[in-house]
Amino acid sequence: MSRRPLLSHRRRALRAVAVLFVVGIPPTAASGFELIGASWPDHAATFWINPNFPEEALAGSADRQIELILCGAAAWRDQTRADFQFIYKGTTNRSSFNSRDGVNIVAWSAADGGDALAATIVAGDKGVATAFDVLFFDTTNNETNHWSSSGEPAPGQLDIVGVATHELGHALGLNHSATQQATMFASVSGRGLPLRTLHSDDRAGVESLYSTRAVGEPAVLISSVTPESGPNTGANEVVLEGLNFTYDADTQLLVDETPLSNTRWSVETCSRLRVTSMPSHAAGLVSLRLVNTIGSVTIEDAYRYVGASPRILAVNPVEGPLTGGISVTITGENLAADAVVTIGGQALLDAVVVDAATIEGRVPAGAAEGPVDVQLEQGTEVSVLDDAFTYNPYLILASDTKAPPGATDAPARVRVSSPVALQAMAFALSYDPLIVQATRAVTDGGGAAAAEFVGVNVQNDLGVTQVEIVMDPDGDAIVFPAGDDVLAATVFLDVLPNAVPGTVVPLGFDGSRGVPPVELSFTRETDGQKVRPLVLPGSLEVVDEPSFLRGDANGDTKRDVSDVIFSLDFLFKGGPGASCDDAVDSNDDGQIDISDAILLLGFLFQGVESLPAPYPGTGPDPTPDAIGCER
Amino acid sequence: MPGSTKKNRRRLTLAAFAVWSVTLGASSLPAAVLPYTLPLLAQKSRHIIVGEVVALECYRAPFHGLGDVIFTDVVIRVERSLKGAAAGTEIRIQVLGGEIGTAFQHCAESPRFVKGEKVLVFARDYQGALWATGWHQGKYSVDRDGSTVHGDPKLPIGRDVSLAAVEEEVRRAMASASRSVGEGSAGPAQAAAKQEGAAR
Repeated sequence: MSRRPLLSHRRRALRAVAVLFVVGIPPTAASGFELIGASWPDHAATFWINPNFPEEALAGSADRQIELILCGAAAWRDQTRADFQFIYKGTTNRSSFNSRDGVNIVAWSAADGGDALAATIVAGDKGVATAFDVLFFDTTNNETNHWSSSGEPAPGQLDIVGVATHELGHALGLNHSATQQATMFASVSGRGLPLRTLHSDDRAGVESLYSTRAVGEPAVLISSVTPESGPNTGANEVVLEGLNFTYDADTQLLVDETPLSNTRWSVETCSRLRVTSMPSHAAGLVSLRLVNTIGSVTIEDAYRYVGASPRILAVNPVEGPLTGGISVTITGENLAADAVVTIGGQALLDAVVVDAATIEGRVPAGAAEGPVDVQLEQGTEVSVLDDAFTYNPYLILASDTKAPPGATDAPARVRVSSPVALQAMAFALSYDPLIVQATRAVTDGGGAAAAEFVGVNVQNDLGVTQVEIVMDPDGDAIVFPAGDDVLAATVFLDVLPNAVPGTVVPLGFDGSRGVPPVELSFTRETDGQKVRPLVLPGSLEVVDEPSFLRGDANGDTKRDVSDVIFSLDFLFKGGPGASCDDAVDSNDDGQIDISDAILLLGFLFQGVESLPAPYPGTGPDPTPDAIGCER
Repeated sequence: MPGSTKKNRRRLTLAAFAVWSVTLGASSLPAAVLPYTLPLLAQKSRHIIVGEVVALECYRAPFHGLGDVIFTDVVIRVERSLKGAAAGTEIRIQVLGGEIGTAFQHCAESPRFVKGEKVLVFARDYQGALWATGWHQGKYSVDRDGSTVHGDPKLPIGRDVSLAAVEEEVRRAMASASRSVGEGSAGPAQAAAKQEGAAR
């Protein structure tokens, strides 16, 4: 007996806990939406707006009020797939309920709503909605309602868009929902702007009422960016237009993937976001990304940052071969990373924007000889230098060579390219006479070997050797052949003993140095016209390498039979070795053997025309091998 | 006496639980009407009654400058009075919306009544008539035996509770209001409700 009351207490306590559990948890409904029992048979409802909210400083201008209420209407279509739409017909001055006037309105009313802030009446017949009116009340229980157009409503204020979205939900046929996060939930405590964004329960409600359209899931979209470009210093205004923009606190805007402080922009309506101060950024295209509850959208290359207008100032060199390939430097101003340079309509090869004033690259092949435009495109801006670059199919070039101080007869070869055969040519190889001195020039072994006239005028005091070649003074029977890199002449240079190793002597074609000056020219066989070839200079590098005379085995600075005897003594009789094995290696095969003596004998007595370089003068060994020279 | 003390303590505990269970459900606040808690609802109302809906009368009439609308007059025979109208009398509540023939007007903020339904109604004066206080916040279905008030998460009474618990809460609210008036701070309920609404 004594235990029964205790058990009874426990049972009561358990019962109480059970009741507590049942009543203490608010019901959560997967589908909380409720319907009023009427819908629009054409899946559409027309409406007019009376933009008569009186506090313009808070509610915005009439135009802005219209925009905001339209957002409340658009939410039910743009944030859902429902096959329903509110069709805006224009403005009205009506501001009272009237279900029989054929005009459905959304308006502010000067009336007191009693306990109501706003109210919607849907009218119809036999479950078919035929009319609706939404009124926002001036006062509620004689206290003024302050209707707000933007930003989180302050205490005492009400968000026009959020309440319009809720009331228009009633207008299309939804009752209050049991889902607490839904716009159609009866309670909005602690919720202001989020009412603008429909909950899945709201969406389920309207889609159950009107079925769905064959469209994708609701998404946030950016349809335009105005203006599309602006200064790289930023601070300018940009307007994004699109769909399903929500509100500032729900939105993140990224410029080139960097979040932009929301002090620099604001969501003005569901379709417009205004950036009041763009950030600074390097010139070029950037992406814009907008993220909110509804989704995320990224527009690549949506906005271009520009510096001052880009401009080409110069091209160097101004001339190049038709085959292209030579290095070229474009100088200009305000050049950006997305700058694109074309020469004669062809893109610069391997282009690199070095800085805002320099672009480097290689010349593309040309379509035809002659001048072409050089153009810079940077975003929407274009800068053109007319006829700034000339493709020249006629070339004259000097070879690159090396020689040590004191070297003699270092060959500087002059080669020619021409698309047609030539009758004649004239050039002047120029050099620094304080480092090198020419000794002679020959046309042996090249395209001008058969020339009937070759004039050579060495003017070392002026640092120039003039060469004039006339293939056939009496006619066109002998011509210099068309082709690329055809040897025209070899100018032999002595390097002065006091030349400093490492010095590079330019070998150019400065015809103005000589007396009289020589006009650099090719004379075409086809029409007898003179053309000025493109000059590609060469160089002579003074190197700190032993100089020797090929075949001079005994080192007496001559090539004769004593060199043959010296080699054979060394090879077969145990004679002394040479101080310069490279000189003994007559055939330059990297080995000292009987073949060297045989080649030298052939050169001396049997008509072998030449030996491997250095030849005919002294110089360093141009070919790497395992033997060397100590002289 | 000790047994009586225990019984009193248990009653107090249950009463406290009942009050807690009622007020816990009062976090639901209507969207487009001034949001009320149960104490505010009680303080704002001239009548708080339990009764049966004996008639629904729909008609068209001007809505005080807001156009011609359909109203429904709900006639309730008072069976139990928590405030105002006495038991045995009838009160008439005006509701925005209704049906005339097959034509209808619907207002989501209005309470719904069904003839023969037993209801708990909070009512106040508005535009020369009695209206449910806080529109749909002021009407609840009650079990036929009068023991349980059916709440709704959307309303100030958020869940089913005993009528006794509601009565207790109403008494406390009115007592609190009386003290406030006596202390010279008139209208705390209205101010609190407005603030709650403004915070939306």
